[in-house]
Amino acid sequence: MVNEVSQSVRNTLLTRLGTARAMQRVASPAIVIGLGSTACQITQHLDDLTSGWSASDRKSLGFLYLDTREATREEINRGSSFIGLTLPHFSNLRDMRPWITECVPELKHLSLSREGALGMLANAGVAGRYNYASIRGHIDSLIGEVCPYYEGKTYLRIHLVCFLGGGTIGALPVLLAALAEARGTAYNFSLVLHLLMPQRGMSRDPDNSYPLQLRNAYSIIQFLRAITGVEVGQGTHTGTDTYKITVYPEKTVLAVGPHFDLAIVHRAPKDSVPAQKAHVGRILENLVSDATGTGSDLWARYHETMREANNKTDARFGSICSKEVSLLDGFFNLTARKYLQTHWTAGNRS
Amino acid sequence: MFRKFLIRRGISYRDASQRLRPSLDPLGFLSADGVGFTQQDAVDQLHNAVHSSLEDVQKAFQLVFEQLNPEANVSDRIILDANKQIRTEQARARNLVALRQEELNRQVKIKLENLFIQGVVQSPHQEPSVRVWENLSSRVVHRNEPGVSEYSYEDLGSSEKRGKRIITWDNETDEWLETICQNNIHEIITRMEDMIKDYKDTWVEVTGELRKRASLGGLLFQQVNDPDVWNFESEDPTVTNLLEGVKALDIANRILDRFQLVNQDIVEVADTVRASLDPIPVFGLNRVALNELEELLALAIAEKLRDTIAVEAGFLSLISNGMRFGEELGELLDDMRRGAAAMEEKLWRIGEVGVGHVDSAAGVGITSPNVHDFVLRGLGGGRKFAAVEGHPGNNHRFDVQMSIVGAPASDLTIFREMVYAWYSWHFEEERGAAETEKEWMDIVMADCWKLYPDIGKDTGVRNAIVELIDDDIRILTRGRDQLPTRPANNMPADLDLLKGLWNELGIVQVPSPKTNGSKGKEPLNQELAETPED
Repeated sequence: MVNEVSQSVRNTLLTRLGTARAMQRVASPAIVIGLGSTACQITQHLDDLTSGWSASDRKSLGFLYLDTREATREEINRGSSFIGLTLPHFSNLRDMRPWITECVPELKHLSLSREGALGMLANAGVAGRYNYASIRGHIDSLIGEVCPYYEGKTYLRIHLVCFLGGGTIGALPVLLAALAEARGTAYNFSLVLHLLMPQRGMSRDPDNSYPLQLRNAYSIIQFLRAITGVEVGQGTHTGTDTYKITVYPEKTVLAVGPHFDLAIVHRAPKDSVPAQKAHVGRILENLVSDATGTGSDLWARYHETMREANNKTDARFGSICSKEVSLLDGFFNLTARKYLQTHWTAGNRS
Repeated sequence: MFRKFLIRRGISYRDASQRLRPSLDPLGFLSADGVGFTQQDAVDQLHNAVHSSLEDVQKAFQLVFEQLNPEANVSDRIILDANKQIRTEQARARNLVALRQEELNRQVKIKLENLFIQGVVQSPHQEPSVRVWENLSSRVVHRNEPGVSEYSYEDLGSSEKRGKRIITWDNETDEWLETICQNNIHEIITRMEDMIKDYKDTWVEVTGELRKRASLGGLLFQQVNDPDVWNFESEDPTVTNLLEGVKALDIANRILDRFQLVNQDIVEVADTVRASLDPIPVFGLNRVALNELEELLALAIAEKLRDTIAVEAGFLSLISNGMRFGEELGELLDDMRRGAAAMEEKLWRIGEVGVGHVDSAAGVGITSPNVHDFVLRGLGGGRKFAAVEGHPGNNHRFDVQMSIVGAPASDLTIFREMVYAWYSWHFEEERGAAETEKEWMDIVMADCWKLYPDIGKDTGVRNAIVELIDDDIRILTRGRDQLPTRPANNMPADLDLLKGLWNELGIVQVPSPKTNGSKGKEPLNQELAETPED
């Protein structure tokens, strides 16, 4: 009778091997936030990738997951911070509350009785407002964990991953408002947005859901432009990087900019979810490993470039495209098997 | 001074203390290099480990006897408590040896599992070295515990009686301590022999199966010698492997020719694999499956291989094939640059849009003098690369990165598609079928909250979004890419309907709309042309 070892045994082994390599990868503590199902999968992928890093690197990393789908809670690592952007039953809510009518004309328009935001930005907007206190609490606690004040660390980077075409991204203004409030504390941080573009080939229903994704993406991109403080047209509603939102139960949050430092647009190199997850995960891994290689290079040049940038409006959008050739893990693994095979053959008796 | 009168009949803790030598590792005989140990050495090491756990108890016994010194004045309280103290110390001794036994059993299991894994890696054709220890229990006899007298106040009251009885008590406790010590050693060895039996049984099964898998025709043999298997793919299509097929197999052989796992490496590999499996046993019933053990071993050894073949250790010369290697590397990097540029073009409408490019190539290793030249030659294309950097943790990685910072959103390739999708929504389904401006306005007003993250009038972000959209639409209608228009239907032009909507929402103030059709757009365009900010 023999046992089958689980994936967790392999992960434990990789963690032990990684811990043995004491190379420092993370120079600035970082928090990675996944907003929505796709983003949570990518964040989870990064969480797994970094599980083999040294203890001091892992200590400098925090992960936060937010989704309107409660099922995502089951899909992420146990013990990870997850905030379900859900609402209590409608009968427990009083209609015409400002935090509700700021998103939908009436409570009955909400569709949150089902799992997910159903592609509606407003659904996630209401859920984000309802869970604002929890979002703030988790952010504060994670910042304190990765950036211990008593160690003199007060600067960190926050990476916020989100799919532009989904409905859950409707909670982005709320999340940015929470981060703006957190920025007012003893800590200072840079915020990098990782925006996943809608791709027709990845849409489950290209004729119906893809246009919806494009509409959502357009709205959110305009929101991001607006909060950089650009002034256009009559300038009645633009020209300021500050906005107000009302959150549960009836608190007005003044979100003072600047809200983000760089919005990196990602396009999956292949129309498949695993490819998107691996690709964006790899770029995130490079950026989080800011002590070496391309990660440190980007930050050095980013600050140089931003100093020179004179176009305030759109100066914060960008992208990273990279190709990599390497000896993949599979090569070393097979070479190791080859080593074992030569030792195990009868001709190799010692 | 009393000892010369003693008649030695049993074993003695004190005598053992004189004889046993302390050792750093009480289970040193259970290691791969523990060849020089005799069976008596092994028993003595275990004996010493248990013996040392009882030192405090022995001292406590001695303290009781010293307090009862017949030549000194002893209080009644001490005499009354003496027997109780002896019993308490006996109970403590039992607990201490039980704890030590538990700890040693655990350590023995760990040692044996590590030895098993080391043996599998290093010498699967040999008889397991642990066979030497399979009959150790015959060297330690299990004895019945001798009695330790119980003395009352009357027995110890007078100094003469006390003097005699202390000698007896001392003798009895000394023998008792050594007896429980040896009985525990016996139990530890018996348990160890059971484990060794499991070890040996599993060894026969596992090594037999390993030989079968590794020999000609076996699964592992086929796997590692088939060039088709030496092709690796990442889920990320922008990552490719440097070596494939026959070339990869050839390089692997070359790596293995100069690769040697030293003893310390093997110990580390075994310990990592065992610790990762814990609590799944390596041998015995319910043990780990052979293919899983093989996989874990391969993962751990792969890490050793990776460490060995660093750039600094000549990785580049190792993978280089022939005279053209430098050129091939340059061509490869140029190919990567073109690949990254093609990805950029899928994202951005115009090539050179960013305020600044941040380009880099990393992972090539700064210690190799020719590499910098290879890279710059290969990357070419007018790009000025920021740096060719070493990558201390990933020595086998060439990474070419192109980054843009500060590109306008309107240069995104899907920008127009996004605007059209947003715009078209207003004229689709029942919204497009509306026959009067009022009907259209009512339907759109009721549903347009679906387009934005919020719809607050004085709060939220909708109004700013609409103002920016209005600006985008002005720019687009001025340009060559016109927004789609519907045939005339006696309604105001689509753009004017939109303006009316925003006017109604109180976001953008515009003049009254014109009718749809050929005349519909002219006044709007004229008005746009006159707008000062345009």
